Amino acid sequence: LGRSTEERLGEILKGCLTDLIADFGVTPTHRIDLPAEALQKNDGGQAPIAAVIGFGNDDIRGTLTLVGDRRLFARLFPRQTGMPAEPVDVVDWAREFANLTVGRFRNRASAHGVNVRLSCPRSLSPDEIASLESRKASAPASWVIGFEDMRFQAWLAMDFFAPVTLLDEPQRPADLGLDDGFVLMLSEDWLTP
Amino acid sequence: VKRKILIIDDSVTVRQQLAAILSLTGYEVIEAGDGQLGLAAAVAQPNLSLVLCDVNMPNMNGIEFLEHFRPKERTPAIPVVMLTTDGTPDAIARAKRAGACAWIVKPFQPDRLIAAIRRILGETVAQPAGAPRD
Repeated sequence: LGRSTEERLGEILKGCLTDLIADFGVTPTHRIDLPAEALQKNDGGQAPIAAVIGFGNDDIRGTLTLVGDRRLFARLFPRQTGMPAEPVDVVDWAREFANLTVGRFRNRASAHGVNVRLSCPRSLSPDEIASLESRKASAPASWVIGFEDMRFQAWLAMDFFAPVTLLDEPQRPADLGLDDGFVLMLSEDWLTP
Repeated sequence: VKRKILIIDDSVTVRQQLAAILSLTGYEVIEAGDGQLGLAAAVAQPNLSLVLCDVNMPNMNGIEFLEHFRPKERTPAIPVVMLTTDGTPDAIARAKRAGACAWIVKPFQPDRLIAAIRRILGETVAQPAGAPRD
């Protein structure tokens, strides 16, 4: 109570990011809300990677940027294939991880009455990553996620063009079933007897 | 003869992940990186058993793919399963109107995914959709 819509949306997104990291088997060993300055260069000698994804509707526009240690993105890489992640795979995975994070955010925000559409996630070039310092200054929320000596940073930027009402309680029951991994059959016509 | 499944997703990682799981299960896999490429692949394939399709993709998204694919496809109709981060009722309703047969929210559970595909293809009786996670 008493928090702004922007702060509450930021909290929802931070929760989505934390949960998703845990879903992929990583328990952060550092607090997720460390100040941005806590992101020190300790990337194992490799260039960082970054992915950005936008979301919005008529009243709000936002972007989430994930930037950081490629070793941590590799650590979060899905293991079903049983194959090690190639460098190009890790860059693609960073994009997909941003997509999964904001996709989950969209679903949770929707339950609270705020519906947004997503852009397609994209990678940032080394020049764009270097220019992120200026964006960091305007981002209302940033979090550092650490695991062992690996870290990445999430920056959330939002612009509001009209008042946005975020309901205190979800409109839909939590057991609606549209959580991650859920299989919803849309038509029984497809099922073979 | 192996059943053929078309995967449409703009993430190479997701396609690789799905292809590995489906291949291990015994399916033949074809991949496409967006809805346009998926549409070309789906129309060109004579014996496609099922399509797994992402929604948020460049060039042509998954719902647009469905809306273009349904009028073009051969008979009998090929089941299309949407695999997406989107869990909002409006998106699901639109996909249902466009002819999707199932909706799976990413990140997916491999066991549930395979169970759903087998159920749709009539290969086995799976656990009810929405059963608790393992």
